[in-house]
Amino acid sequence: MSDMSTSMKDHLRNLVSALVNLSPSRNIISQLILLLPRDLRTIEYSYPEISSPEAKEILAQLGVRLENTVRRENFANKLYEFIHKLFDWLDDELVKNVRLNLAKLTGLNIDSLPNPYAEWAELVLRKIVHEKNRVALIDLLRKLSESEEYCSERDLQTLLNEIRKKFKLNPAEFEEIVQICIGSEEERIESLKPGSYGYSSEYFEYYLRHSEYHLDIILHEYRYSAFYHKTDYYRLRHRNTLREILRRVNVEEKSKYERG
Amino acid sequence: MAEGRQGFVNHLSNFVNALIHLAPSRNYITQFLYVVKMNGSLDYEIVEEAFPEIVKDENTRDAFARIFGISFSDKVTLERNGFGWVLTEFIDIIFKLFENADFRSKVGVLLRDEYPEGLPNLVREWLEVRLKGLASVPELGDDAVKVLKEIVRTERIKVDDLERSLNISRGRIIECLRLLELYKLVNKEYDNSYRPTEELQRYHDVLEGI
Repeated sequence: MSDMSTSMKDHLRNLVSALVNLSPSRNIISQLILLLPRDLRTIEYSYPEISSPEAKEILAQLGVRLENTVRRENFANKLYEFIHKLFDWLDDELVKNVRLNLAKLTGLNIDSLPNPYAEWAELVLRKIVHEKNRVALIDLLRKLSESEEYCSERDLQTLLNEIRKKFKLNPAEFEEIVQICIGSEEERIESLKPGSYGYSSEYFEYYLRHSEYHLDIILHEYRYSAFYHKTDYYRLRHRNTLREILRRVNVEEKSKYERG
Repeated sequence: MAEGRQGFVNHLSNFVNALIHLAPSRNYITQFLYVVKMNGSLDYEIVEEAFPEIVKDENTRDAFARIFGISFSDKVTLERNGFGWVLTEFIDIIFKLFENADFRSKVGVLLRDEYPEGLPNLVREWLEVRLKGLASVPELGDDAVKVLKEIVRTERIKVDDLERSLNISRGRIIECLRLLELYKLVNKEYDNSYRPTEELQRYHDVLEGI
């Protein structure tokens, strides 16, 4: 892009920088909003910065409802949805090669382009390594990141059962691990692939599965063909990024352990 | 709790600055995306003239198409659920937030050092940018501003009446009206009369500085 003016590059860099500053790894306001709903006491304990009346008033303006259970609404809800899209966009999950094209247009090295999903997943993994069942958690995440891109409900259940048996997890521990890594709540996302609805006799519906820390690993895809015949499968996402972070966190934790 | 309070102020400052920097009045890229979005679709020639840095070079154009989900053909449109679409939808939400005087005032108190004149109303700011852009359109800008001022003054007016009151030729008035519609400053009504858009009605004083 030799004929691209400096100002154009600057505007694109500024845009990326503004987006990254909204990401939950860089900002407690976005982080808090992403993790809702949560118990008020948990929020106040985890985020002492928000204890002042002014902070609470501003959070209320942003759509954070500070009741016994803290919930999001209005602006906060839209920001929550936007953060998920941003995660996908800058981790090449929305469309491929966003990072490569952004690097070309901005003149930045692709590795120096921030990746909000990678930053967030790393924060989450560094928290997970202190959990009681960390070995099982890490093992499940590793297996998910090393699986084929698509899997069936049966494949997923088989994988989960392996983990449950291998680590002799009781039902409560097993459920906790599933919630942290995969989650159960699904949110419908309209038409991720443009043109899917067109005049074709088949169409697709996509549901994002929200885990406790929003690792966004599973996209549940439904395909409706002629006569409403429905098939569904899971698409495992962010696998390359997760693999890389797991490797890095693991190496660091091992060396910490060896240093005692 | 001074440390906790200051911690919140720092995060709030980063957060608010990030939102402000996404506004189309502050960023050429979001301006391009938002102009396409607010028009639904735009003629390729118009976009090429207004945003040559994005559109003229084939490689840049293709990269933008891929990154932001933009369709470039005779018309330029944002693909639904592409990132450009998602971002412009989010900008609408930012506009709504920053139009709320209560929000601006409460945040303004904590960020007084950074924003001594208060937080910007980004809707008003975007309107000012469009008006300045309109006024600077070569050859047509001055007349377009005259036509706009007359529409605002009368609140609702037809082409015939504009022709009479402004003493500008009908053809030129029609050209001006096209430009005003492109900038989303006026709406054409069912009876072919023209009215200022709601934003311009809310902030019509902005026109005084033009």
